[in-house]
Amino acid sequence: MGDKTKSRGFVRRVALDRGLNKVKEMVLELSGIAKEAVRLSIEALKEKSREKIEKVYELEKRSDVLNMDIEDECLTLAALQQPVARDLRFIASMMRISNNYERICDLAQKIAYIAEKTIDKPLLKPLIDVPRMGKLVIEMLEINEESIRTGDTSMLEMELKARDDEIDLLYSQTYNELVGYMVRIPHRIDDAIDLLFVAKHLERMGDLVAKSAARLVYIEEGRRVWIK
Amino acid sequence: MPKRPRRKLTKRLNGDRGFFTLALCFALAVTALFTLVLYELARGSRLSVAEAGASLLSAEWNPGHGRFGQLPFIYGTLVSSTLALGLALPLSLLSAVFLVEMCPRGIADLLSSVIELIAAIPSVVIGLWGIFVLAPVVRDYIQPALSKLSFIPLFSGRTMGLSMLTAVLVLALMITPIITSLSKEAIASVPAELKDGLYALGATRLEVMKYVVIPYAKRGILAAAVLGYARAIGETMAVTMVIGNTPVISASLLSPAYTLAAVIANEFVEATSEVYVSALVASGLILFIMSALVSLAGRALARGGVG
Amino acid sequence: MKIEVKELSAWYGSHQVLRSVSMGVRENMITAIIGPSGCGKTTLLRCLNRMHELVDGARVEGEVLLDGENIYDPSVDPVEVRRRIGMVFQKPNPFPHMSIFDNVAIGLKLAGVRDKRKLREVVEDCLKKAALWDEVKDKLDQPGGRLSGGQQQRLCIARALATSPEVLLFDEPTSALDPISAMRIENLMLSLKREYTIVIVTHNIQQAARVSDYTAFLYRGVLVEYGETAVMFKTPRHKLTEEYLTGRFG
Repeated sequence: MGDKTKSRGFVRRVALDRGLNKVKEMVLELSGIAKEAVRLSIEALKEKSREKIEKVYELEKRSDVLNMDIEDECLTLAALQQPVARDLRFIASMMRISNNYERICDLAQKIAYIAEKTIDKPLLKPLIDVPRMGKLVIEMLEINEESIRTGDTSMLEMELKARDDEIDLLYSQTYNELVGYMVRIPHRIDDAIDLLFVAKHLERMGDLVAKSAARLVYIEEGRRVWIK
Repeated sequence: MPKRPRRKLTKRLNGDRGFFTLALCFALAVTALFTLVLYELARGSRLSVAEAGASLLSAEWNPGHGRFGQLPFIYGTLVSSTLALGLALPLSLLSAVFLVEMCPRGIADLLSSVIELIAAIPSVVIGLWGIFVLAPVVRDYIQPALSKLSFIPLFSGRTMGLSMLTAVLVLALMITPIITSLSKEAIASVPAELKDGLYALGATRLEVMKYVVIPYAKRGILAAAVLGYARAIGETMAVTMVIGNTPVISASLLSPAYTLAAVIANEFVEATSEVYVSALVASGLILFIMSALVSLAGRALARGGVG
Repeated sequence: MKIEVKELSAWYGSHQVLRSVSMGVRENMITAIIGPSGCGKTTLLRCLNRMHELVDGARVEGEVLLDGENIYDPSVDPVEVRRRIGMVFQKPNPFPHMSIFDNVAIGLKLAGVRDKRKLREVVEDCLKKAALWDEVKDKLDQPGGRLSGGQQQRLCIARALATSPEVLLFDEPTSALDPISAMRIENLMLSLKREYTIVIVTHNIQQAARVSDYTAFLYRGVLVEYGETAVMFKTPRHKLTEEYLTGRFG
């Protein structure tokens, strides 16, 4: 987040600022990894690309490591720099956001598993809603990234709530549609269930990004919001 | 980064050595001077000691008849100085306390300047004032007032104005500035945090004076008193103009008296015989030793602790 | 509220140091006053026990209520105020020419207590409260100046306790001490707050965070923010407070 505080003084806490910026960059990197993982997992499912499945696995591993690193850096700053107020909120929130994003990568990995499992079978139905949901998740991640860079959280609640709601709607639609498929084509029930899981994972991802946005608001404004 | 040239650690010639030597020389010179003065005084007194012997300590000073008893002068110097200190010390102390602690800055500075001006007045001028102003006051006002108490030996007798009392008053006036100014410094140097500490416990101004300021400043005040005393002992001109210059030892304050400094100043020019001169040098030696003792006593007291 | 400060302004001569400060001090709690150098926090503290006016040219306007009574009312005796509100200073200042015993007892003696037994009782009690008794009980007649810095400060605390004050004011009590002595003093304050109301001025933000329940932030004589310490250190309301707490301050 941009440093909105006008520098009234001449003393800057160099070590702390450096550390905070490092955490910011690492979280942005993790956000990038999550976006990539979401995109590739859905494409892998659609295109039945083994290459893309492998890539997703790799990204998930990286996200694990990066999450640990972020936590480590935050703890070091807490121990050495005695952060208070915004700095403290920043460190606590970034640790949680990092966890959330790592979780998103886990969910993308799960989608990749399903892609791998069904790689030799034809798709049950053309994927329309699922990619749409994935696109929304990626959009939400990008809006968060922008907010992290600029420190502007004014539109966050609105923007993310709208998309999260849309994801929920799409999930409902997909759910009903798939139930229909299960009734009409019972021998492909497991495929339907797999697709349902994929939709569920994406719905969960939407929640995680929304939660993370709430944390960003907490950093900047000190108040707790719920974005559902 | 360019390497800095290494500098040698060996000793070098600098000004310290030379300064040390110079300062040492001056210190030794001063000590030598002191010893020289002492020696010369002793040498000069030898004649009178040889001729008059123990009678030098008698109470009779009658050079015409060969009597050179120093006692009247020793008495005169000690009594006049001690009484002057007794009078000046409380006054000076109170003034010092007032000026430092209670007086508004502007007025305090003004009063301090006035007090210091007194110290600047030449002693002969004070002596003149003593003769023409103070002596008549003693004669015309103080004496009649004291005559009611004349059954007390201290206040018995009559005077034309030139008396021990007048000298005591004059000396008190002369040593007050120095005692006041040094006491002020001692009092002002009491750390504010110490005073604050007692104020914070719920002390009045007087209590802070009593429990913190005076005990802490004791050493400095003592030093001031000693300095004032030494000044009084050595004061010549003003004293000799008002004390009456009569070598008697009397219990009465109204009686005239004589001090070591006064007798030297007065009678040196008319000292007819060598013994006479030697006796006066002996007076000088006694005065010298007295001053030295007062100084040493002062240092011992000052070092002896705050009490 | 044990103490209520109402529109308090203070001057040194023509230089105004406090501007209309209003705040409360809660009973049996520790209230910290923080702010950059020269913000007036020590002056504010000294106004609470009428020590500010001891300086030549000092002036005060406004009210300070102790249990509802204005201590600046003309009918109030400042000496009485200072008995009920004690103070511990930045540099430990025991009276060097008095024994340890006398140092603690002097407050009582000033209040008129002469009974030797009562004095001994109170001195022991206060030294125990100040966690100093065990270290000095065998040398009570030694001069007060010979203890270590931390011990001297505890002696000053015992001294302040002797007059049974209701409020204790601490002016940067540990800034001249080593970290371990400082920690002992902090622990002492935490235990004292059960019986006394405490106000501490400190330039050490972490100290304020560690010991205080409420914090007041002063900047250039103005009270910028006042609130629960836990809240202020997580979510300060004012930008200035935020800047000061996070150390991005000149």
